Amino acid sequence: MRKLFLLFLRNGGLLAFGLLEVISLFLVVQFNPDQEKIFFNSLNNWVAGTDAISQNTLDYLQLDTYADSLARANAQMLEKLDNALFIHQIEEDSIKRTDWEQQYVLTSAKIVDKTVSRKNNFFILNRGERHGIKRNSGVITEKGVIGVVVDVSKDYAQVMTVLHQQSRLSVALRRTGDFGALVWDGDDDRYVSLVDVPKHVQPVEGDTIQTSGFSQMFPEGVMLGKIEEFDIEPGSNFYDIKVRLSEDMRTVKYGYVVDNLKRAQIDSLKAGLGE
Amino acid sequence: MNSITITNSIRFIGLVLLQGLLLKRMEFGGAFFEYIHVLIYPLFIILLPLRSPTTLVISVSFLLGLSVDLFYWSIGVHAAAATATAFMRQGLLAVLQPRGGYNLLFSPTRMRMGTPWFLRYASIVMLFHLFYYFSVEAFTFVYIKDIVLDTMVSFVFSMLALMMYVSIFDPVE
Repeated sequence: MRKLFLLFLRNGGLLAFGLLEVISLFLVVQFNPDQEKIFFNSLNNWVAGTDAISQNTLDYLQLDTYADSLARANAQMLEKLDNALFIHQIEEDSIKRTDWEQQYVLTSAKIVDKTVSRKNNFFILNRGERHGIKRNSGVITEKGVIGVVVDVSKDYAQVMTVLHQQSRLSVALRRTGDFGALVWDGDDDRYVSLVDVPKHVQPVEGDTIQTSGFSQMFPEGVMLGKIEEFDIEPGSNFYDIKVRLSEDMRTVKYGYVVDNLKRAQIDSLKAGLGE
Repeated sequence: MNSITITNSIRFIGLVLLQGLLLKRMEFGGAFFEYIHVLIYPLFIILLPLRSPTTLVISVSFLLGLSVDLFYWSIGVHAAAATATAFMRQGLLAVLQPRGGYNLLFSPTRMRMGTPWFLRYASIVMLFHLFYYFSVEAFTFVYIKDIVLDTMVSFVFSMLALMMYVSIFDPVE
């Protein structure tokens, strides 16, 4: 009790000031309409501001869910593009009959694990057998190509990315239509090399490189990157082309696994040829 | 009741009436004159005896502000400013303490402390009080330009009134 008294004596000024100041301001708000309005407006603003912050935080925490549903919606839309369809177009008595059939089916997937800085880089997707993912399916994004599924478990799929020294994708120059193969030298994760483009082709810096559609893993015309620079060694018959990837492999979070519904037919035909 | 208490009680009533009945009516219109508000009642806080306990100074100042508020129909505004000014006065006195300390029997008057010291002390208290008062009156710093203008202009005229009061009555305590 004595201590409490001493405390009050020592800090009495501050306590009295605090108490009377609060009473005064309370009276101000209570009895003066102008100040009352300002006070309650500010209070409202403050509450609304706090509310917005908490709402933003909640929204942010739910971003994953939104991103998942957006990726699904994107997959559905990409499936509707021309290059994902098998076109039955038959000319009969000068009547054109066009029939569209789905050829490529896309499954959206989240990248749950990745490496980019090694010599051979793999991604892990959170889609597996249960979701209908098959081996040797291509993986793309809206911006470019990620790689090819090499292994599938029940819930996950392993993707050999384009940043893998064994990776070799069949690509084409969009402008000229010439083919080549895309490989990686294991150095810079932003650049890949385009090889097997013959001498007579005339590439230009900035030319778009896209999938050729011959591998049966990707629809035709999916963008991969742009030509950064090129040269041809004396005596060589093929260009040495440096391609800047259009997708940033370090930051990419979502992809679409491409399933080619017609693939079995082509594969069996090829097997027949081989025999 | 000793004489100092009586002196201060009379000063309390006198300053409240002077402020509430006379100076309150000295409000002007026009571009520059609208900023003139003469406040003299902080003089009561300025002149309270040096030995008054902080709690008492603050409580009495609160009552002073509230009394002025009754005349101004602005319950709480002057009280808030006076309370803060009283609290600030106690700290200011500690800062302005002359070498050798105060004679605790005195009040901080011009007669006791000398004109330069008193002028400095009174202007700081007055400036603080005016700024605090106009801030609470506006109740938002959106109009900080008006608050500062009000404070500057009113400071000049309030100090004039204060010095007139001091030279007429020249209080010792």
